[in-house]
Amino acid sequence: MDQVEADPDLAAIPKSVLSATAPTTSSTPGTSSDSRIFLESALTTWERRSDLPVPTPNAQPSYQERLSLDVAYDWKATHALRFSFSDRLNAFAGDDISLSSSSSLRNDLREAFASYEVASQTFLEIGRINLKNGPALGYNPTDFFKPRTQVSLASIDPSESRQNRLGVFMVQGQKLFDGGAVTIALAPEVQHQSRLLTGAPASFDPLLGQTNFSTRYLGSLSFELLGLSPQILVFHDDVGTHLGASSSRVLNTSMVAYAEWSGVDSGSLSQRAIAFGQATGSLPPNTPLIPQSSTGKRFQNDAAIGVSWTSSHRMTVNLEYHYHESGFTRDDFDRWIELGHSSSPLARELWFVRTYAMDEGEPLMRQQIFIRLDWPDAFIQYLNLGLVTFIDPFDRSTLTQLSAQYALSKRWSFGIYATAAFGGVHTEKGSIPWSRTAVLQIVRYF
Amino acid sequence: MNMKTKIIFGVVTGALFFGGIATAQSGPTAQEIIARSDEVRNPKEPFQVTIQLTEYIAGTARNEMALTVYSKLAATSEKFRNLVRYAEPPRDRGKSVLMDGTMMWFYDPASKTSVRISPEQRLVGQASQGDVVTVNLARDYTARLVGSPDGETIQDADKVARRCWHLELAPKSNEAVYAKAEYWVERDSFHPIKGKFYSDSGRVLKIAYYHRYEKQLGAERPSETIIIDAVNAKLVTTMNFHGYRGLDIPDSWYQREYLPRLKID
Repeated sequence: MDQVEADPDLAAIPKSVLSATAPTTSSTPGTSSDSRIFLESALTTWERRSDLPVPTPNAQPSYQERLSLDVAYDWKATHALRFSFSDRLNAFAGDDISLSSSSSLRNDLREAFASYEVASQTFLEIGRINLKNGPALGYNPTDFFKPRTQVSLASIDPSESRQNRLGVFMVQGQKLFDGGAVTIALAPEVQHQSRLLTGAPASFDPLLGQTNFSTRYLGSLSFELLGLSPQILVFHDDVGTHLGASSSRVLNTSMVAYAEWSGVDSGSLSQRAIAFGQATGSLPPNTPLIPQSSTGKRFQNDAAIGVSWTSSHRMTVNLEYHYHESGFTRDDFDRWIELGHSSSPLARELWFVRTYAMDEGEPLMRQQIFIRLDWPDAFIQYLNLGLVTFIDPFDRSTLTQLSAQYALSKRWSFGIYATAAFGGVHTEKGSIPWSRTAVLQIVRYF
Repeated sequence: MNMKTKIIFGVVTGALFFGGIATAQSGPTAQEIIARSDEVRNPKEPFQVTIQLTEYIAGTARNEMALTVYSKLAATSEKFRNLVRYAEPPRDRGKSVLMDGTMMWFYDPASKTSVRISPEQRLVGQASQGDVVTVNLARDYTARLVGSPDGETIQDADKVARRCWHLELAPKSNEAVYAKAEYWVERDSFHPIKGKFYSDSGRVLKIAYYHRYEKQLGAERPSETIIIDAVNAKLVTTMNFHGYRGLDIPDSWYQREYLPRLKID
């Protein structure tokens, strides 16, 4: 054998690497259990605005502390039967919360369902399920089960808000085939429609009056075609029959484009909000009605078009345009400001429309620009930086959040979220009841 | 056919024939070597394996991650389809990624949504998806022998002398992760021993050593890969492969709709 020259590359391998004991499957915890448990503390402070042209009916708190125990567990009972459970127990303290009241404790049962594989790659599921659709990040027109499922969170990032939303009680069937799937879901009415929450619900109320207030059906087909990964959806609820479609495509090694669309015959956002308020008693019977710029139903389109780009440093930027035809036009919003400024009895109803849009998971305005930046291991290892911005193209007001999360260890992480609304008090983002907010978050994983 | 034509035909045929024998006698071609070496790293049957990644900074283990990979050779090509599920650390548990050529989706169990990702969106810290998932180098790269066809003797990670073919790899498909690679494969056993991977600008990005060979799914396979970061010399990542298991994986698993159903068995 030849004389072997010393390999200079080997000098870079520390002795500790070569002497480390090889792991085994039994010594790797996550390979034998499907549970995720963490404890989260989130301290939020708000800087209130005092010069709002449309005064808010509810007082804006100045601080709140939330302590949450978050549990997600999946259990395989037999070869074909599984049970899934996902829950968050929250304790709240703050300047608008009495420790002895029901608002100091709340449980969010996100999911609890059984899944049975009735035949090969054919699944039947029953229980509270979070069924989500749509490739966009900022707004998903095809995410039909999103209305009235929001729960409290630390971030304005929609991808974070989707983490904590409530599921819907439903029966779901899915057949997977090579490259695609057919899904059918039936969500029955379980309780009468509940009002918009203006205060805290009962501590352990599963909020079925929000998530299952009417019978709804969804059918979807996803398949592969020319790398476009299309999905076609049909959804029926008490508004009407919604059609939806989405698609995405890799453009090159660093870019992905995506789009989704839905359409339905419906009234405008404010028409629907007022009808909802009257039907649920959320708006008192003697409330004067705000004049409407349009009446009756017509076909309304919703769309989200976006592109993501990843740099060689692993920073990913998403840019999206959202179109929400039933939302406010610039004129509608100007009228919102004028009416609220001139008529204080209308202020409650005007804010009700905005709260309704938020509760439904809809943008307030007809158009919106969304930018999201995610940069893992930014500058130093384990530091994740993020930016989320919503821009109103009509008045250029923006809502921007900067976030930094640092993984102190395998089990501890620390995060800061700083959010600011930019724009005058007569603009969409500038007219919300706070100008700045900050969240300090500590998470302990188990 | 006249005499002149017959002579030319005979010379050409003879040259091809004996040339062929000469080639066969000199050993496998570079492409055959890389293909045989792929078979050492990758079982041909569908399988699952757990990969434990440990990042060392200046010799101290700083970060650990565990992934379970479900891999299957596509029926129509020599391409592997991969599903990767995060097991550790706890904050990432249950996240999963589908990698089927350029078709890549990331699923987060917390948001229960699948997001389409680009190949640039690397999977984990120092190890790129090209290191973690099952890849046929012979499919993505053109190999050529460098130096003597008899090979050269190099040291493996444990400083044991190995007689290796030295190959240079150039990308031939858009799924190739690196712009260039050097690869050392042990003669006779076809065990990959060392790899050096380069960027577009010709800079060394990482150096990999394959060692601790163990019998898994019918063949001797490296149970550990050591990856040296050529840019940050203090950073070394080890990838330990364990829990190999042959598995009947349906093709319908390799789609975004299956990602929420990818659970621990």
